Amino acid sequence: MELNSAKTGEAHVLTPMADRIDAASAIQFKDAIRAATVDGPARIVLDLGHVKFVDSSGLGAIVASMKHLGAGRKMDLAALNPDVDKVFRLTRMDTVFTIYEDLDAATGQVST
Amino acid sequence: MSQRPVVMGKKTASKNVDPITLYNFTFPAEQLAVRTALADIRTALEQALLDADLVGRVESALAELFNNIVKHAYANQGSGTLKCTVTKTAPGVVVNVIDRGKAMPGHTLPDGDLPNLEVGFSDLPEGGFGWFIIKSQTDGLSYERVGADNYTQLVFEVRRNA
Repeated sequence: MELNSAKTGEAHVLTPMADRIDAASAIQFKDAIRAATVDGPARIVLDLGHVKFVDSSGLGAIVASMKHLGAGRKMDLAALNPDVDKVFRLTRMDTVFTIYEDLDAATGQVST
Repeated sequence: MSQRPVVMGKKTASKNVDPITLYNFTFPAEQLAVRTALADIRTALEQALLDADLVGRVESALAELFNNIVKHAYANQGSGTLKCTVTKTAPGVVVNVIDRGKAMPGHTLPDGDLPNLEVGFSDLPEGGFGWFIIKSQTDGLSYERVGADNYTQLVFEVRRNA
């Protein structure tokens, strides 16, 4: 899966360039995140701005990627569309991840 | 089948009390075919002007059910098929799914409880959400094993305060 990568402030922003993280793409997603986070900042912001749909396999892949970072690093989420946000709230995964409305909020950029 | 045939060109859906078939296809039980089917079903629901919350719930529940059938009923053998019929009814949508894979254990639906999140970091669940999602997104759910077929029916109603 194609991932855009940017260092913003102290965070490593990773943006999956895919409209679905689902059963068909969960493994590619995990592989791409692992490869992109071998080293680099302790804080990852996963920008889901391009993602329109996440199923339970995709949700599991996001959790697995966060766990793979280890307890010393952190993965926050940003820019969830309403359907994706619903999956996180429904499964109570919104209590596990810090979720930001958009990338600016996640990276501490003040929009005026 | 008691289902009435679709009358082509009849577009007065909102006043029509007869069920209208929006989607009726058989496709291979594999992940990419599931993706295509979900996209086609979403398009059919949007073209029928169903509300966004209901369309999202149908897609979410069917994604879990279809993937469950691919993974468990057919055990990723890649040779089975799935038949899915989506019908628009007065209160919402009824979906009937037939597969010829293994029966559900005990011929009954799983409880679909939410996995426990009150665990240590390394024990956070990476799966087990599927039936919980299906149950919470539907307003009616039934399963029956008849001969070599699994019949699953999902009912979705418009939720006013969604």
